[in-house]
Amino acid sequence: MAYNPADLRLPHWLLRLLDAAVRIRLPLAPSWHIGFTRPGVLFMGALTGVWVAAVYSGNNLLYLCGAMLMSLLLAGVGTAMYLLRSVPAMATFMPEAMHAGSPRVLRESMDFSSSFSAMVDIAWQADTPAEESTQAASLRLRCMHGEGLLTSTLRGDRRGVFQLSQQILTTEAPLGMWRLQYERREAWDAVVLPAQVPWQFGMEAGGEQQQAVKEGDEWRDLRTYVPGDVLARVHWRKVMHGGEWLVKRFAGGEQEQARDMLRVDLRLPAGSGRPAFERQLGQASFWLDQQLAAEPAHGTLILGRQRFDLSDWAGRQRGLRALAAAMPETLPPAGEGGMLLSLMER
Amino acid sequence: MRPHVMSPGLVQAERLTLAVLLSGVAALSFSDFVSPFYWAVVVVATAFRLWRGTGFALTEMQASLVGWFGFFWVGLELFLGRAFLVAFTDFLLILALAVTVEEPTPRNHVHRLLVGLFLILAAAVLTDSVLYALPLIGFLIFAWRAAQRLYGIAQPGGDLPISSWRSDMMILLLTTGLTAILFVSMPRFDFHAYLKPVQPRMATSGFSSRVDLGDFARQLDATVVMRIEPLEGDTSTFRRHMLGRYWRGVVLDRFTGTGWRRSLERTGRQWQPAKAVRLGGGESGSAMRMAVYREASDHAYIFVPDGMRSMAEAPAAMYMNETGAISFRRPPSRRLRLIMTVGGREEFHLMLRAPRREEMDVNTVPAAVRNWAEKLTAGADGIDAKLARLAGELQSWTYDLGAEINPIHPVESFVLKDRRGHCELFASAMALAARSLGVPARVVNGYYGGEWNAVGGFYLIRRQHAHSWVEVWRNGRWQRLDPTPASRWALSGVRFPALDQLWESVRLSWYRYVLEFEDADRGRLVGQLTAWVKRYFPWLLAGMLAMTVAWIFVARVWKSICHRRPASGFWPVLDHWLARRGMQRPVHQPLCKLPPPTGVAAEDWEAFVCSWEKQVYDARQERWSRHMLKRHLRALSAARW
Repeated sequence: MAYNPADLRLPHWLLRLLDAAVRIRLPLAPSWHIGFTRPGVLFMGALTGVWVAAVYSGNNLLYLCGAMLMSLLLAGVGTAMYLLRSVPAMATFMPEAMHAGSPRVLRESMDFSSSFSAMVDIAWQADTPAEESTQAASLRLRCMHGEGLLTSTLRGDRRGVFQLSQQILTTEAPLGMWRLQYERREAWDAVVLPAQVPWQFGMEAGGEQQQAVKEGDEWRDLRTYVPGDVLARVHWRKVMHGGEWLVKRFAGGEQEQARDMLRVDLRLPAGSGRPAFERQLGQASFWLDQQLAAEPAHGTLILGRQRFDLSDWAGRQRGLRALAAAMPETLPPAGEGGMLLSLMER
Repeated sequence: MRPHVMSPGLVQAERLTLAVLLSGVAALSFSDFVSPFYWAVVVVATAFRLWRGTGFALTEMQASLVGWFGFFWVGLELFLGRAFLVAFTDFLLILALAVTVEEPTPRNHVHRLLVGLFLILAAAVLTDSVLYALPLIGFLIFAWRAAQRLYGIAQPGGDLPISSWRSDMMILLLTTGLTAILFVSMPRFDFHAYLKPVQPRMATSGFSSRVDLGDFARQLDATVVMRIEPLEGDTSTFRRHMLGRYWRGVVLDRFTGTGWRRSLERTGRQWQPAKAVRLGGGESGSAMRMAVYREASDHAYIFVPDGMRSMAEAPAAMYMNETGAISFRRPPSRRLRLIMTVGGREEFHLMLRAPRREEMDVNTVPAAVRNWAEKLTAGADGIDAKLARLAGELQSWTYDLGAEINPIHPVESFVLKDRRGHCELFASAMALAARSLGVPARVVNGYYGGEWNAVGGFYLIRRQHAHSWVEVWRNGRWQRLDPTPASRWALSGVRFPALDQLWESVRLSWYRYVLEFEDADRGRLVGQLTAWVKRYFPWLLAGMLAMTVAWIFVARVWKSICHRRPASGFWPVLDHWLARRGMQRPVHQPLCKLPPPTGVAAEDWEAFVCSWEKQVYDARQERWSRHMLKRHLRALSAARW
């Protein structure tokens, strides 16, 4: 903001007094609070002075000035309330998951119904203080010309699923004189996956696949083309006959199939520490990230006794949450085949 | 030194904060306490600043020196005897000048907003003009936009654009409506009168206890001195009720040869402030309550209409002397609202004091007048017949405001030679002639009649309605005699009567609904509004429909104009500016490919190119006008601080 009473070279004690006034939050309505910025405190001081002078003197022109300044205040507060009420639900713009210790930069555009420009700070936190201390999201919405740009750098300190349900929206728009705060309920599960631990799991299978194509192996079946598929695998004959773009899947993809399944053994052997367990989850997280980066996302994650189909949205969500919240178990992983991550000796 | 090229946001803030400041200056300029020279200097400086941009700016130190100069200058003015309030407004305007020409720092913007607000508040005390509403509305909208602009500058991610004028017009409508509602609904208290609006338009009115013949004639212009509106009953009844009333002011009894003086009178009745004034008179018969808006004047007299029974409350300490003239102890220098109850015109409430020596003094009657009266009344039967003959003779003469007045023997010259003149001469001749006949007589100065304003339904009394007449002692009471020819009332100094009626109606509404608004008016206002809406409902509906249609039409036409305007239509201006610096830009070459022109710092040039391209290519940015581009180029040229 380009104006500040501090610029007026006010004495230090007065600025401290202003700051004390700035910290005050007054309830305006249920879920609404109002506070004042430094210029806003000056404005309120002027407004109070005008009303005192008006009431003291009975001068109707001072009444008129007071009414005008008051209406400016009311119009500003009303506009700010409308602005905050116009902020759309945020959950749809949030990432499915983050990784512990890795900042996630968010930059999303959205439609915004108000024609006023504003910066809206959004603090998203948990209801319970215990969870609040571990995870919260701070977002900033820049609104102008009927559009909103949501930016944030999200960071999770430790893995887990954190239920953020209380959203506090704050803005000083449109005049920069008061800080309006609006609390609303919107649920979002912040899924913080374990920090990724890179590992090699797919190079050999990939090499064999390339070779099979070159050797002209028979393809097993066809699937719909998705951007990013190797062009050599496109069934060009069908394309030339006017059919849709299809991609061949080869019988030699058994290796690939094995790579698309990860079984994570959640048993923690005696003597193994928690870091080893977390490292194993980090490896699973790395694998999961690779699978989700593929188009379309595919694969199967078996986490202890639970099985998740990653090609399905609901299954993917459950898998992410399960991985973020995984705890040591006593039973071996379900199923067979695929790749196995385990701390147990074979 | 300080920068360089201002960002578009700061350019806009510069114009808006200047507009806020100018609104304050304009509001104060309506006060009679302000010297036109001082506010004219601020206006010229603002125009120059808008024209030259930051090329015309003082540093903060230089601007503060201007402020200090103003402080000492005003001290000198006070020392030389200038009125305190005038010196105070001089200081405010010098301060406004300093912040106008100061370099556009964020602090300067705050200074301008604060000084603008202070000027508006000062004007609320120092003026009561209806025109004050215009800068107030200007202040409202410009302060809104300026605060928005300043809020949006230097936000994370760059300056936020200001909202469109269309959105802000809606805000203006909203805030105006809210202002009206708050103004009406806030309770009124009257603890003190020090901050009441003052209205120092106290030009000499001619009403005084020492009047030289001719004083009135110099003042008879169309300036309004009183407005009288009914507080009950319909306007047509009121019009008939108050038609042709005499408004009695000062009573003069001692003739000096060239004018009249008022002898010292014993004070009769006295009234303290806020006490009801009761004059007695008929309690029966028709009477009407009315509000009399008396403009501030240099005299202390209250003009009392024929048949006045009471006044609701005395606005200040008042007294009535033995002649029945009512005046203030100390004349208030502001407009007054007097609530009067006035009965029939035949009720004549004057103190029945017997004539004093001065009112019968024949020694001061010039011999020429005595001879003229004797000659004229010779053969008349009885005093009443003689007086009637004198009055009839005078009424047959010519009324002429421009007639020369003999400065040494005005009445003799009027009676024997000129036989033309204004009401003072007619009244003086009549009073002196009556005295020569042995009838006690005196001259009364006041107003007669008035002008009916059909638009607002009220009476106006202008200076040109000032009048002199005579009171003679007959049959144990004072009786009025008016020897002035009737042609006197055909004169009018109003140039555009229809417009004048409308304007005066607006002014009365301002006085009644703003300046003099009281708790008691709230219910009446609501009732009147309801009645008005009911009465004009079809017209209101039609007006709203017409406005909606016009709004849609204008919005579409405006849009089409905006779309037709080429985004980069100002290239010739830019090329001309570059050519003056020895650079030739090939057609279609973007600015970013050009090196910085001579005399322009690389970073300034880069910032300018960035701003230019944003407004050309980014549809969300506000397009520059030709004037705005020139401002930027001037700032670029002058950026060597």
